[in-house]
Amino acid sequence: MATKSEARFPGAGALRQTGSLFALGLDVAVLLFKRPFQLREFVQQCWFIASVTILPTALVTIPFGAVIALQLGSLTRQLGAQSFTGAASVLAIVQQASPLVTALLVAGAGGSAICADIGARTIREEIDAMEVLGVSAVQRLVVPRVLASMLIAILLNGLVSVVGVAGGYTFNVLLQHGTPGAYLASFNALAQMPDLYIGEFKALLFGFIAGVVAAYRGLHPPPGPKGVGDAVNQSVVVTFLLLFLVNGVLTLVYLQIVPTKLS
Amino acid sequence: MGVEVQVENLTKSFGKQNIWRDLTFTLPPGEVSALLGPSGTGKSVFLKSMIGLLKPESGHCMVAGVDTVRCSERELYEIRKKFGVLFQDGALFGSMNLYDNVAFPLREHTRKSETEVRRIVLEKLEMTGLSGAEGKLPGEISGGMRKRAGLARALVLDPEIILVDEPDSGLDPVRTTYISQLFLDVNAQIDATFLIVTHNINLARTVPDNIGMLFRKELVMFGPRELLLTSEEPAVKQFLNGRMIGPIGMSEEKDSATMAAEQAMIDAGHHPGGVEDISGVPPQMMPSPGVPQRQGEVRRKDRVMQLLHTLPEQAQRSIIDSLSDEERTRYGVRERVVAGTGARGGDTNEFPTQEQGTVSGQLAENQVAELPTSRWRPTPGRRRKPRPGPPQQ
Ligand SMILES: Nc1ncnc2c1ncn2[C@@H]1O[C@H](COP(=O)(O)OP(=O)(O)OP(=O)(O)O)[C@@H](O)[C@H]1O
Ligand SMILES: [Mg+2]
Repeated sequence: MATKSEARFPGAGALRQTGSLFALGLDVAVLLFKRPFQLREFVQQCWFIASVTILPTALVTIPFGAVIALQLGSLTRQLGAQSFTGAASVLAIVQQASPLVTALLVAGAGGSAICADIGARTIREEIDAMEVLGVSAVQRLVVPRVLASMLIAILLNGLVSVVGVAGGYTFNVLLQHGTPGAYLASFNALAQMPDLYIGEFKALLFGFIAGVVAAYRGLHPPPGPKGVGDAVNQSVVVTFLLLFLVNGVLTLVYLQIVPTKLS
Repeated sequence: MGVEVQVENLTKSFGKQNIWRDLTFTLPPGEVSALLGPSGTGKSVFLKSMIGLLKPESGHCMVAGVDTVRCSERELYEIRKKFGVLFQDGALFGSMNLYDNVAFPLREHTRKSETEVRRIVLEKLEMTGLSGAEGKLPGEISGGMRKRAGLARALVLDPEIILVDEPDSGLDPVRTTYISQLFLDVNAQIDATFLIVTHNINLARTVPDNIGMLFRKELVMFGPRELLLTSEEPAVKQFLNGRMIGPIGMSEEKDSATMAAEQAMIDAGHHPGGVEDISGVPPQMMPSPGVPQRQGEVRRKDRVMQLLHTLPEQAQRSIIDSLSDEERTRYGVRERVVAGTGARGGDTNEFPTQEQGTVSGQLAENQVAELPTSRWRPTPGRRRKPRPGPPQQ
């Protein structure tokens, strides 16, 4: 049998890593449907991710909604389109802000914890031991975590949308003296149902990416305990970069496909 | 019966660093083999390659007809069910207590009821001396206990091949002997093939049927225990005695300047290390009374007698010496010994299989390297014919 030799050229390492990351993503996608499903682990992970993300998400979202409301408020007032403040802030929050806030928190709080957990197991040879016992670590550990981060991302996305819009409403009405009725009435002047769908879809995808990247870095940490720390760090950074990239692409595609309501 | 493992031309590197090359040997089924070697010679890497956790660049490792180096993931998961592996640090699941750790393989791979799982788990925990600690988390117990719990988990599925990475590290000498006894008892009970990686000379001298040694990226030798224990190979002798004098140094390569300097130190009266001169072949440990005879030991005797003529002189002598009277009759040794000098272990011409003195006290380098390849095949009744009755010990 021919010796398998690794190709060497600049950037080969990066390509190899990308390839392995995709391979893990595919493995996860395939093993999602393999029985027995690790329900216990899944529920525990959901609970864990939710517990570390809910509070920070709410805390981040209120000022986020406020900032959008304040900016839009002053802009719309200058343009004399005050009645559209509500519409615009709903659109901004539901379509863009909330999936991103969700993703950043799922990646930053949930993903880093997943990566640290799996990384620690890797350097203690627990993953090896599991593989040797004939149990797939991807199915047993990674799939429930990725699923949990997807589910929590969707739910958080709902939370962020509500809190964001409520925050925007509060600031607009209380601080900028907008008319409550106008704010509410214009809700669906610009926003439409597909905006919510794309928001949830993005959250789902971001949850998947955050989970897979965290698990990937956790399964392949640089050697030693310090390696796990580095891996956590890298997983968060890599996830953020990937998320912004994917968000850009999805938004462009969405805007092409779904006609805006005004025109 | 345990499974045979055939390793052929296995070579492994990490990047540019070659760990070992061209390993070729066979673990005979149901026998206990040990792998020695200085730290960092890649013994743990070898174990991980055998179970497909690491992929060597070339070579094969055939286990029950499956090449664990090249086979698919699915085949690998299947074949791994035959393995029981004890990792160097125990590798327990940190989030589960000892009971759940040991029960894990049973719950994953069998449909046993929880009462039955409980019975088996408690039995294995007792075997390894951990009764009463089943509720503890791995973080709450000593290193030696982690090791024993890892062993209990490795044994729980009655595997056909058991790989053990340094059972002695982190254990006191008494527990090490108990663990060795446990290996032999388990081997007698389930006839599993064992490979024990160890630095412990006592264990290496008294437990395994076969011993191999890794040094300078190669398998220095692999064969019946007598082969290595009587070997005149400088690295082997030095390792067994734990001395500083010899080819093994603190780092991988020892240059001649260092060796000369050390020799000068010794000549000036500095102690070379090591407690006593260790040589010769001590009697092998036996399974506990009440445990059936080890089938591997019976098979091994036949096998060793078949390749007796390929072994160096001292090894031959010590093998002949270790035979009981019945065995001498069975293998046709007695007459020759009696006819020769009338005493055990006289000079070379007593050995029935030795011809025209091709084998001298120490094998030439190339012959040593070839030894492991002379592979044993389960053979026919030719040797067994002269056996007077059912084998006794
Ligand atoms: N994942 C890895 N990546 C790179 N190099 C490695 C890796 N694992 C082991 N090595 C290298 O392989 C060599 C052999 O390591 P190994 O752990 O097998 O030694 P060992 O013979 O088991 O030693 P010890 O008796 O101390 O346990 C070491 O030099 C180590 O640096
Ligand atoms: Mg080791």
